[in-house]
Amino acid sequence: MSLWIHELRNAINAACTNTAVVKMLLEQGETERARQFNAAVLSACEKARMLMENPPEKEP
Amino acid sequence: MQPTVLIVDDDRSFACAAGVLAAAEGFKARLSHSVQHAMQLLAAERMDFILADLHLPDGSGMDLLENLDLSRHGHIALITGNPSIESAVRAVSAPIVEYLLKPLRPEQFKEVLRRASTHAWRTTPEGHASGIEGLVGSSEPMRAIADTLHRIAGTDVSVLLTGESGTGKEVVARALHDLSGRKGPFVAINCGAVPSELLASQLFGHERGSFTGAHSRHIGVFEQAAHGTLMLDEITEMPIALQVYLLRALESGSVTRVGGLELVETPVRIVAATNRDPHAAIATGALREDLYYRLADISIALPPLCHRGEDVVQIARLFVKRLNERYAGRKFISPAGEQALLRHRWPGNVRELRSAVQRAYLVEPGDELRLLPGSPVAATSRESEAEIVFSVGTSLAEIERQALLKTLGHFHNDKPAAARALGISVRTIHNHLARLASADTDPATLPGAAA
Repeated sequence: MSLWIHELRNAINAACTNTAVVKMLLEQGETERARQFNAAVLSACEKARMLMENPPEKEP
Repeated sequence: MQPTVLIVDDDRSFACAAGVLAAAEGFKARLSHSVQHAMQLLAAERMDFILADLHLPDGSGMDLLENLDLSRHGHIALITGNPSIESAVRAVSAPIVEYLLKPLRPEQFKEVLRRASTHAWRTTPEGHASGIEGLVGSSEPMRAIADTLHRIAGTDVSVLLTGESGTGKEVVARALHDLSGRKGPFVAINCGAVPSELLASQLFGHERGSFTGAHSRHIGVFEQAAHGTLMLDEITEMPIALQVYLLRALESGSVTRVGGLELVETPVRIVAATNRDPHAAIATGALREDLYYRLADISIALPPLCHRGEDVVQIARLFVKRLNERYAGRKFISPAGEQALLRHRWPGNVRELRSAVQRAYLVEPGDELRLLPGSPVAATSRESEAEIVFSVGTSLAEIERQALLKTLGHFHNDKPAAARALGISVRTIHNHLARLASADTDPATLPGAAA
């Protein structure tokens, strides 16, 4: 359970931080770099989705 | 100096994005994905901020803490996606540590970066406020000034510096110029030091033959400082009639040389300075109000040295360092000398400090500068009627005696009031006074003697 939570937190953390970078780069007009970091957001979200689909079994 | 950050996290996606955010906050970012690599980087380079993941492939962020010389580096934060009470307790028991949980909110990360940046100011070698060359000191007022200088450096706003004589107004003006990146030179003129009949010529220049003795064209400081910074020191000493011309030059961004007709563009940043209260100068007619508003887009008040805490020691050390370089010496200020520096009021501010340190450097024998008794530094104290300053080593009996006598003096011998302030009974005050009187103190000098 703790490993699953750890990995989920990491995935959401990466998504949050990369989203902040995308926002900043778009405000600066750096669309190409923003696109690269957006790919990292999507990757992190996908990882989080997979983790959510495979939660650990509840401990008795 | 640009602050540095090391981000240690095996999640490369997060580390990379965090590095970009840190760079946007002005940091030079280094990334690492393992304890071993981070240790190598930290051995080679001092970091103002270290953000380390608790769980790394080859160990823990805690290993970094335990193997680090923390005094060498700045702010440290641990981040984890698997928080535990044990790790939190271990983290906060180490100095200068923050314990952050994933997912980290970007605003929270920026806030931590700003705190680390502030810490970096305090730990910059030789105490340069925020790394601004020439601006020594890490006290709160100086850091606020450095912050303002950073914010306005790239703009064209006029700046009015106020502060007592010797507080370093020209140093701040030069620092602003250096930070601005302006292509032209820094030019300073003391409006109070130039005879009033010559001041117009010095400011705006003159054409050949424009007045008796004008044998050739003269380029004034406005033109000399083109694309740079012009410091108008002691602005309130400028004749009021000339202030009208100055205002026109500032409004139009151009000057006409004395005796000339041609308008010459003068793209300069103006930094004016005065040791007088500008509002009082306006009230007395020494400064035109419209000129004041034109000069004071941003107004910066420089604190007297006695309000800058331990900056005085940092500045004195810098003076000694320069003197050592000049005279190939190895002198240093002793701890007692530093205490003497901190006790003195410094009415002449940095100028007086420079003079006192130089005098001690040249007069005192040996390498240890003690600022000997009898010197102006040791003679006067920063202490006022409402405060007591003690040096390390003062006996408890002496501290008690001074606290009692000074508190009684402060309350005009009102013993119940003094007793309340000191948190003791009136009877205790009487007992202390009796004990002091029976010792070597002349009872007639005691506050209670006449009461």
